[in-house]
Amino acid sequence: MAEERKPDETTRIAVEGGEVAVYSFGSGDEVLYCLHGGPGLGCDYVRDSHSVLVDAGYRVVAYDQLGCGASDRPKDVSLYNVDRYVEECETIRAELGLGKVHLLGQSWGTWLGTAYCLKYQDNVKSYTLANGSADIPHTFAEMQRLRRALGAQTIEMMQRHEAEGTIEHPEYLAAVTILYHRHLCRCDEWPAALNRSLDEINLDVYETMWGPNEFCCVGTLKDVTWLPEMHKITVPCLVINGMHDELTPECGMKMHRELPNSEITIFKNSSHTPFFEEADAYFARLKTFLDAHRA
Amino acid sequence: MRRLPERRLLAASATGAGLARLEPCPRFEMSERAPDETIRIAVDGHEVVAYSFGAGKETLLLANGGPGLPCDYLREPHAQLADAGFRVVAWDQLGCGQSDKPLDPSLWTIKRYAAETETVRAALGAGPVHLLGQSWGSFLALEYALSYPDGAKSLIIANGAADIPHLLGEMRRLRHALGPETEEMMQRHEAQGSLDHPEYEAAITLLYRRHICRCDEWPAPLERTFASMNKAVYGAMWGANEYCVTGSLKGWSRLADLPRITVPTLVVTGMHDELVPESSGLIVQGIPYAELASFTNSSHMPFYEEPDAYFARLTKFLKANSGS
Repeated sequence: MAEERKPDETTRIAVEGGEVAVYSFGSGDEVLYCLHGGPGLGCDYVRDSHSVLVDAGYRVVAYDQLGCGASDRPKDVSLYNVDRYVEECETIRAELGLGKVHLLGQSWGTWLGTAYCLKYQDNVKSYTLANGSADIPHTFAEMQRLRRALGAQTIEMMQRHEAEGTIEHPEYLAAVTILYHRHLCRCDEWPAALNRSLDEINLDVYETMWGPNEFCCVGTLKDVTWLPEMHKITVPCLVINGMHDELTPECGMKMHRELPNSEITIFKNSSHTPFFEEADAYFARLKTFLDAHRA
Repeated sequence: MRRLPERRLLAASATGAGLARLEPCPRFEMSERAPDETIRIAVDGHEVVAYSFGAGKETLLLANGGPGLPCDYLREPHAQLADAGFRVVAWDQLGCGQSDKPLDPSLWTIKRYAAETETVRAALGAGPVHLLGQSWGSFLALEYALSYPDGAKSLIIANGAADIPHLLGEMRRLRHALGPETEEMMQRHEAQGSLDHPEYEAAITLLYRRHICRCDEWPAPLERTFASMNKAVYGAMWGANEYCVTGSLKGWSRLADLPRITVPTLVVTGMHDELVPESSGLIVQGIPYAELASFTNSSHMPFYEEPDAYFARLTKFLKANSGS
């Protein structure tokens, strides 16, 4: 792994509920504005990987969402909802005077990014939906399908521990470990930035909105879908998924079909983090898309 | 490959529920019994340590699994048979537990361990014993019974096998239940020697919890036994783990010789046993005076998983075969 790039500027910006930490790399009017996954992760893994685009002439801005990373972590979990996260995203964009941005959401960042575009797409030049989806019930059904590949006995075991609340049992954690190395990141050694993001997860946020682990969705997002509204997003969109993505290629395809102005690329040797798993191909693809939609 | 940092993943501390709601193993809370006598026995220029409980005329000698494990996990539950009138003796096989741990790999053969078993039996001065072999101990007990036919008055072949090539085919079947992608992943790590990768260890954890001991919490003697494995012995004779077998036992089979065993034999298996029920079935078919006890809610450790049913069955067999 290359040494991590230091941000040129780190600022704290007040949003509803507290202050958030914002990291900026490079300069200029073409801004890649990154929304990380989770919800509840720090932005390290997205920031560290995508900051390479500074060398392609972009200013790269990422921030730790409220409750995440170096941002404030209020205990009031009612703050951890999509509408407030959308306003937080807009507040930071306006506060930094970023103008029209190239928005990039990764994983949960695509749910946030889609909700943002449905309200503020006038502030968006292009929108990249990396490893995302739009229809949580469909997404979760797909993730159940991935789980089932571990065999009927494993599923029974997992369901039993989920029912009884004993999800720290070694056999349950073992099943989750296999799934994460298969569908979250297939690198033999996980990059330090990814480990950091996962280690520093704020479970108040993650559990409130998603659940106890990727493959167990019981939070406030579990019934949400943006799919019926996605046709309203008319800015140029790039949909990216990994072939082994926990947010499966079909999740990407469903969005691509609804978005009127979209392209799609599936990275066949990647799961949920193609920017680590197939970095060269990923950034070449992303750069081509962004370059085509510069002002 | 560098080991990835320990992560309890996103499931960690997710609910705070922890293991508190898991039912403890039925015997888990019981305090362990101290041996009435600890004996050091000379074996091939080294010493092994034997543990004796009770003072009955009938001796139950326990040959534990591994190879390379101390006897703790087998000794501790079976010591209660002293209360049923038996003398119960277990020993740490050479290289294991409190016994000497020589570094000479030529010592790690089933023939030498069978001779060691005879040395231990003779040192007890108790005449023919009821010999209970569990897991690897069952291979050893069968080898012993064929080499020293007068040493055992009855055999208990627990969670065992007589034909390792057949068993390995069956254990591959158990692995396959984790799905083809898991199998590919495991084979890849086995091929390149990266067995400490978290995803490989996770697959092994799933298999151990399914086919070695299904108790929600593993009993302390079992945890202790695995933690103090002599990997030189285990690796030389078995392999890197239960499901990656490269050692000298991989071609061992005594199936054809089983008809020569003429003592009464109790064959014990768990329905989910990693040494599968079919392995026990083959033994029952081969030994003329054999009976099968199968435990439907157990895997490889019915003495922890279904202790009441297991010890009732074992006691009944021992009593029926006591006396001259």
